[in-house]
Amino acid sequence: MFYSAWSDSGMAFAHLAENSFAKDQLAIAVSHSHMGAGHIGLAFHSAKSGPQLLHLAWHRKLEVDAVPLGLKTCWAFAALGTPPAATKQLIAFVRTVATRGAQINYAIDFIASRGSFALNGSYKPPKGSHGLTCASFVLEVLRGGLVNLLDESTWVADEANIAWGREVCDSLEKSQVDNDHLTAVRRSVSGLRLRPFEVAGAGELGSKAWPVTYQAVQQPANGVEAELLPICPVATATVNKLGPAPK
Amino acid sequence: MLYDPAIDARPVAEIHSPSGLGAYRPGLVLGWRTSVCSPSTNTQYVYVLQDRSFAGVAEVDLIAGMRTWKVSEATKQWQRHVFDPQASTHVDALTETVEATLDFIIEFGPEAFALTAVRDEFVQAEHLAALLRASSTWRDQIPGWNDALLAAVLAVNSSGQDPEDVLFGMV
Repeated sequence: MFYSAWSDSGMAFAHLAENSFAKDQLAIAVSHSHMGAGHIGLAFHSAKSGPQLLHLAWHRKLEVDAVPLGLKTCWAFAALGTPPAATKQLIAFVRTVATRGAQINYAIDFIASRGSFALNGSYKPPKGSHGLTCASFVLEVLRGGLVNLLDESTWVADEANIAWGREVCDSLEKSQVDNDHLTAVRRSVSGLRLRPFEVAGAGELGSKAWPVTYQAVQQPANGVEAELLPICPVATATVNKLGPAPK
Repeated sequence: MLYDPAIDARPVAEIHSPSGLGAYRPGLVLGWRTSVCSPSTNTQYVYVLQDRSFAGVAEVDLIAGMRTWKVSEATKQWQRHVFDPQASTHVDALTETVEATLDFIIEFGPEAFALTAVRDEFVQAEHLAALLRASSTWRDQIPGWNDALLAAVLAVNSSGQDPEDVLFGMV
């Protein structure tokens, strides 16, 4: 089934492996993760290799999976609500990021990671940033293409997010990341958290709503999570074998 | 020893390493001043060698000439679609403009990426927008970047497109 053309907002999610999308569309893709918080990437057409999915799977695991044959789990996707001409320019930028294949550490402080991608597609963490999550990776790639989805200054710290941050650190420790990195991530656990579904929800809202505040994105984020379930039922979703707990 | 084109037949050889040392291949003499490419770095060089019949193989100082030639070739690449109002606006063509823009800036620096000659009536609006988006990190270092953005606005308006679409995030 062919995915419908661009609209400014309100695009429904569809099964990535069972639907095609146009070469001039850039899509946000979401899937389940081990920890139940979801996973996110960007779907686009490469110049010569067909549709691809770019996502930060885990610590230093930036992956470019062929769609549909290279997908390791069930993904749902929806077109990003950028205007059509700008979307083509963004795709050119995302292709550059995918081609350069940066080594990106996994870290949770998404405020410090603002501006991680230069417009030449290269990854250069700002001072104070120790890496990205799958969600802040998508956020920063889009920011690199001059698309600013979220107003991070409105994000709200939560006690539950501290437990999540510690859980991420434990998973990093099990992955045997170097001690300096682990120490830096542990120090950055602040209670702030950027969820993949928040990025997807903001993307779905469309360009007129950007940058979206924390409060404004909660409902669309929950909507995306609800849309994912029937497309990719948890019981049948393939477990991501690439590493522990991508988020 | 300086090369004097007036007294030589101007043969040119291909050099297959950045240093050129020991890589002269007489069988590949092609003509007056041509490019050479290092297979390991994909770096382009221009060398001129004197003909062995004149004074043996002697490399002539053409560092400045090499850079000039390389800048000229790289400029042609990013200008190819930008200065062609009829250019395709397919995403693959836009990708070529973005890559050529970034290649140029990475190789020669943003200060050499002069946009001072950009005029709205001679450009393809979407390609110019893609170039500006790709180079906006260096907007303060690129000569003429802000004027080129104004030219892009005019070009987009002339083309009947919406600046808030084509130049999204820039205006």
